[in-house]
Amino acid sequence: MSAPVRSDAELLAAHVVGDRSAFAELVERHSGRLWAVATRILHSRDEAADALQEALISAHQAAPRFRAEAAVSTWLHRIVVNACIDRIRHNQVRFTLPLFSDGPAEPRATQDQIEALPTRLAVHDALALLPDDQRLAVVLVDLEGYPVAEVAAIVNVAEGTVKSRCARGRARLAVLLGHLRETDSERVDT
Amino acid sequence: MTGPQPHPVELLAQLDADVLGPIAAARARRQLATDPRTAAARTAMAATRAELAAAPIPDLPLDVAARCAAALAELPPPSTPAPAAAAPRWRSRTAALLAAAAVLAGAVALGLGWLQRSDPPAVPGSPAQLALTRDTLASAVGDGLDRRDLGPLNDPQQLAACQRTAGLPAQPPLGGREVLLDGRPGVLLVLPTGVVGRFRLVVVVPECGTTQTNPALADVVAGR
Repeated sequence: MSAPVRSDAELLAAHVVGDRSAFAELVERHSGRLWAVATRILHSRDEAADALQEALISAHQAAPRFRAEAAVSTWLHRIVVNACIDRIRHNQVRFTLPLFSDGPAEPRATQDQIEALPTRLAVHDALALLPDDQRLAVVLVDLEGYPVAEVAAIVNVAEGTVKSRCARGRARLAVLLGHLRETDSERVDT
Repeated sequence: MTGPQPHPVELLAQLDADVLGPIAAARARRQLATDPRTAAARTAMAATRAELAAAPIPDLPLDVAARCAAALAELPPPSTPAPAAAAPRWRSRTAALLAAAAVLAGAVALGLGWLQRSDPPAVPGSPAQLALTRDTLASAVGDGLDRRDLGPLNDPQQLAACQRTAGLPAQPPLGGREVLLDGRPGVLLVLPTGVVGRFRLVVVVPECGTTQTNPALADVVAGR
């Protein structure tokens, strides 16, 4: 009675040959997870919405160039991640230092901001207080399950850099999430 | 190089992420073995990793789904190069607002692909009242989203009164139109449910908001 469920690859192929419902079905299938990636990386709802829209348009038009070297879902996720990274880079005016550097004075929540926080934050809000490069690494590795090597390739940095960013981000999150209280004598300097 | 010792949570995070070389790792482990803060730091790191892994997945907002689908619906087929002048349209927030206004294409296409069905869309000049039955009401999502011509309920005060009387949420409908439900005049209101691709379709009498009698003729949820 009901039509067989088409795979992601079948939907994308159908889209390429003109099936106007196929891409909408593909997006419907993955949009929740894609939104999660965007909103976690960018934190800003508007920015995430713009990034998701850009990414879906990009995927829609780039579909004929999909070569099945990865799963369709992975391909879509990567397009969204790249759109988010582009937005971060384009928004550098918001920051005082270049993004994706590993210098000692990366932008981040100030100590005053930290101390003014409630006892603990939700994950989403705590992530927002990390420097962008650390947040990106933590989101992709710890929340989205990307291998470190893949994150390194996406961000175009060494794997060690991704690991370092994860380490510093996790240490900071331990405080922000309320699992470790900072005091002046026990300051986590990440 | 003789600064204060790093906090154990930093060392644990570095060891956990495999950042340190063998010598630095051995030094970190020696410090951890003697640092009285290590136990608390170890517990904190474990709790942090667990909380990150269990972080809830945020829901895709209906308006974001709608504007994305509206933007996609404007695109030419992927094999056809888009006109150069059209490319940046979706970048602007103004365009995004326009896309949101096209919530028909958005919510429907991203929801269940109703946009792609073969039925011709409503066009200007077609009869204002769409003939429906209770059995076909659930399939009228696209027709409802396609318009926002609520007849007498275009009056915001009457619409608000109607929503109160009918016990509907006070938020504006996503769309709606005048209908004939089983031959009886009514106004179809398409309301969000908070779930992408799922809509509440309510048909109320045209005088809804002007009387205290139950104005609802039908109330169904459509979509997934």
